[in-house]
Amino acid sequence: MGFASFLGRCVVRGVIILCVFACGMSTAAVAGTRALLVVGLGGTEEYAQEFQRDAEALDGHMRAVADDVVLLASGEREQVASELAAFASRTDPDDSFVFIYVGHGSYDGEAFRFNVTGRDFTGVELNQWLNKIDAKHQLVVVTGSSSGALLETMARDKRTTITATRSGEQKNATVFGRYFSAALSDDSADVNKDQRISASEAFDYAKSKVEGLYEEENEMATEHPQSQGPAPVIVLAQLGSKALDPGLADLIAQRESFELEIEQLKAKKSGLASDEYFAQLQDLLLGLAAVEGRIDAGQIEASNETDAPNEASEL
Amino acid sequence: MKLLTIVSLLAVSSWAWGWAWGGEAASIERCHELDDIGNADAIGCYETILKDSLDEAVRAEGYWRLGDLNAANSAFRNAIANVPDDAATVLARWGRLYVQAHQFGDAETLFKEALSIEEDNIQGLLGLAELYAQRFESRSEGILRRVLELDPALPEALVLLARLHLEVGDVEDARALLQEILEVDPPLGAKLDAYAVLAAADHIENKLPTQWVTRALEINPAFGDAYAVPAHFYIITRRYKEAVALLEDGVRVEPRHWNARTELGLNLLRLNRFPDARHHLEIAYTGDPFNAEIVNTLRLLDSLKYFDELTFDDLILRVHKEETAVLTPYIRELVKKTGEEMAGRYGFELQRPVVLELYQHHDDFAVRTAGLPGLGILGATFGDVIVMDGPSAKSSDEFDWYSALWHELAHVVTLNATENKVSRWFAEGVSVYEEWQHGPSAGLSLPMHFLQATNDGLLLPIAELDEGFIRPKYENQIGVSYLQAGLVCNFIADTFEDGLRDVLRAYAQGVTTTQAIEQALQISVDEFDERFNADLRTRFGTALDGLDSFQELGGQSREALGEENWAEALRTADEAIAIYPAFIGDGSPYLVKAQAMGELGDEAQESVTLQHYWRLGGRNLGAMHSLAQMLAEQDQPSQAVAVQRTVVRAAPLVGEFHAELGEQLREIGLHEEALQEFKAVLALEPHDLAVAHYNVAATLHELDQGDEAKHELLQSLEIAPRFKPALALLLEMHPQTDLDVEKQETKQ
Repeated sequence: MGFASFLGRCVVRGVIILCVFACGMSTAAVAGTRALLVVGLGGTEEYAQEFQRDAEALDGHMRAVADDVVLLASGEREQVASELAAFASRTDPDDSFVFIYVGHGSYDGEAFRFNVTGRDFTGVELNQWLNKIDAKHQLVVVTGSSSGALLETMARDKRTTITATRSGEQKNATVFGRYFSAALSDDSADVNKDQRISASEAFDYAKSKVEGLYEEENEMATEHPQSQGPAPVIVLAQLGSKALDPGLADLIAQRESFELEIEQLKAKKSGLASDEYFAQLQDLLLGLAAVEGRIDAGQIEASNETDAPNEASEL
Repeated sequence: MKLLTIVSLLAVSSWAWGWAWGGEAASIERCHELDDIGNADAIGCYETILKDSLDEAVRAEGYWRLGDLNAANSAFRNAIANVPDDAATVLARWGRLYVQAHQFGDAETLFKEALSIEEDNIQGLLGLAELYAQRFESRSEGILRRVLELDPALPEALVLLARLHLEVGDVEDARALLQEILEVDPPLGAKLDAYAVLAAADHIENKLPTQWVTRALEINPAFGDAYAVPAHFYIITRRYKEAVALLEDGVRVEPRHWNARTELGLNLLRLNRFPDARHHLEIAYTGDPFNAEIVNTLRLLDSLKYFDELTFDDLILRVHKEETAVLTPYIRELVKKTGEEMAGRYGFELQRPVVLELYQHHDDFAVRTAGLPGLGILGATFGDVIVMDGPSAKSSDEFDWYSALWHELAHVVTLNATENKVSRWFAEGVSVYEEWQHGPSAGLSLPMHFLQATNDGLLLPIAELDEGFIRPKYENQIGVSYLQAGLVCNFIADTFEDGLRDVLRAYAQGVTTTQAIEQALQISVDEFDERFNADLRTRFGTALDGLDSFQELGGQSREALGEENWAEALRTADEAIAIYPAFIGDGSPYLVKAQAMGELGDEAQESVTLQHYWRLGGRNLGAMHSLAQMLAEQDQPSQAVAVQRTVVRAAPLVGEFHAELGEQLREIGLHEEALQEFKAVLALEPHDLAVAHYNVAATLHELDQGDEAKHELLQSLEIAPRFKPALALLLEMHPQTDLDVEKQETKQ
């Protein structure tokens, strides 16, 4: 390895360490994520309960990873507009912003409408309200019927749009939403096993479940989930409950450094002979394993030190 | 002038239907006579008819014989629009055109319309009879008898009736009818048809070579039916090699016999001769573009490019590429068992590999197997070739594909052991018996409709059991016949030492059922029927007598379950079980009992009940899966594995089931089999690939296959670098000292 490259790696490591200190020691909360969750009109008792359930599950998970989450349990147009305006005023350019709509949608050939209590709001209106939020990245998730009609309207830089359908013509009620929210508590959705569920992982999981459901029931699929824009890496949920001991910051930094190197190696995979690639991968993974082991050992130690005594002493 | 006009009109109008009037109508008759003997002058004759005749019905006949079905159709339509006096006959003839164009629904409508105008219109009746005969419907014979009451000497009716007799093996009756035709020196067309059926009779009785082919070809050297008609009888008795040989002769003498060429193509497929099949089907399509069977089959052949073909010593397997890796091990397991165990039971050794094609979609399977009468809808066997629905074609609730495969493998044994001469009922009976006694879902349970049919006296004498398959007389008769055949074989196996084997050997000599029973079992068919029926009552008497109560109690128990009245559900389920303890079909009281037990908190009894159900052959997937999990939780890992194995084989395309079985197998140290299960998970392209690769890696590690284990492990960690169990395994594979750890950290 050349010196410049070595130095570069040290600088990267240093920046990462600084960021970890700056952003707080806990990897349970991703700093700078804000979210608005809106529940639409159910129409029937069954859908109303389902939407509420899904939204509350999403809300619960997001509160563990985001700083600022608002749930509108029966969102009305004016409330949505007002909340988004408020977010616009308090969102920093380094923040990520998430908008999730759980409910029915409709499409009349021209405009997509969010079916909410009172007057519906349109995709065009939502786009206008979201455009005022200056965030590093926006994620828009719409789980209802006809949501594919939003894809064109919502397309812009630094925004990922996830919809339950591929077009406005897919007007049947969808099952995507229930699987999207279920993803946030299912280990099998955590494909990279980092104990976090990203929007990308939630989407892939939900899409796979939707496809499987129609195949199993031998029915023609009436919904085809779509993801448009940059890969949605925003974290929506944390699996496992323990926050990491701040004293392990150095090890955590080392772990993240190994992970970064692994991603860089993977990017070079096609240019390497298979044996060489896997040999390098193995080396990095052994390093990561060692660090991971020490983090786990440190966690146990810290946990033993901080646990309150079970009983008071007795004479 | 006026008189001349009237006379001219009369002359023109006398171009009446050839069947109704003589005189100038004989011209079309003359054309037919020439055509029937293959005389090339027939073409010119028809062309003259078309040039000169104003009678649309006659013109339709002309176009038809010249092969222009569309023009014939238009002419028939015009004929009917002119409201002819003989509208019924014209409609019936039009219906025959639709039969030739394979549009049987439209044909039936036209025949019925003809009969609504004229109840006893012979052409209409004949058309319906022919249509129903093609579908092997029993009402054909009744209609023919009516025709013969109206015209006792009608050759076409006699020929068709003779064919029906031959289809159920009544050769003597068939010959008698055909002799009647020949005695009156019929038109040459009728004579040729009679010769063709007589040739078929000779083939059935193995009186070869047959004089009737020679005599037919002397009249018309291009009479393909001389071969095609006998071929039909080989096809319906599964003797495809013989059928193909005849059909090849048929298209040789009459290259434009499109039906014969189509049948040749379809039957070449049954012999696994794919290129030859495609060749003939493509030619047939050029001459008969109306035949959907040809189009569908050619499209199916095109789709085989998505299939893998795997060759082993005992098996050639064609399966969709998506399913190859998962299904192959289970299929090989059963084929191996067929060779090692099943064939020997019948004193036979498989000489050639079994050819198995599994289809993901039922429609593809249906196209592949078109044309076989009384076809079971799940699978079909043509000698060495098995074609069947794969596990993805139907849900596991409605289709036990693994047991169906065992059923079809039994056909390979019985067909090969007798060179396809085994009777239909006995072949099906052995297959059902094998499923019940030796198959993957072994257990003998009879559904309600069979018990009801038994109580209603609908079971057939053994000598007539083939008819239950070939020409069913009531709904469900085919299904009832399958079960009766299975019970007969079960009875033979229990009562007569080597009885099944001996009956099979008798069939191999080409004897009838009556002869086979007498020869092999040394009793008459009447005595057999008596003893079989007595045995049936002994085995199932309580269930037969208590059928109504059983069904009522079953309904009550399910209703109680729905009302969450667990105690009542349990009570009524137990009473139902007491009447019919072996019943494990849909709605089995065992499932109700198990659920009620579970709801009452008695998991131990729930487990015991489900285990009993499983041992009886019960295969409700949800129940079996729950049982496997229960047994695992109850620390009965070997039992859990046994049950989960049936779950996996019933639903082999569900990755979770394979993963669970893999874990259970690892727990009891069966690592080789565990590896197969984990590899199946990978082959199904699961969502969580990291876990799937890890499980394969861990199992390989346990089997000391270090290099392969490492490769799988790295693939797992490549997806999920922080996957803790995988990292731990990596460290286990590469124990590190503190110095190594420091070096790595320094490198960082």
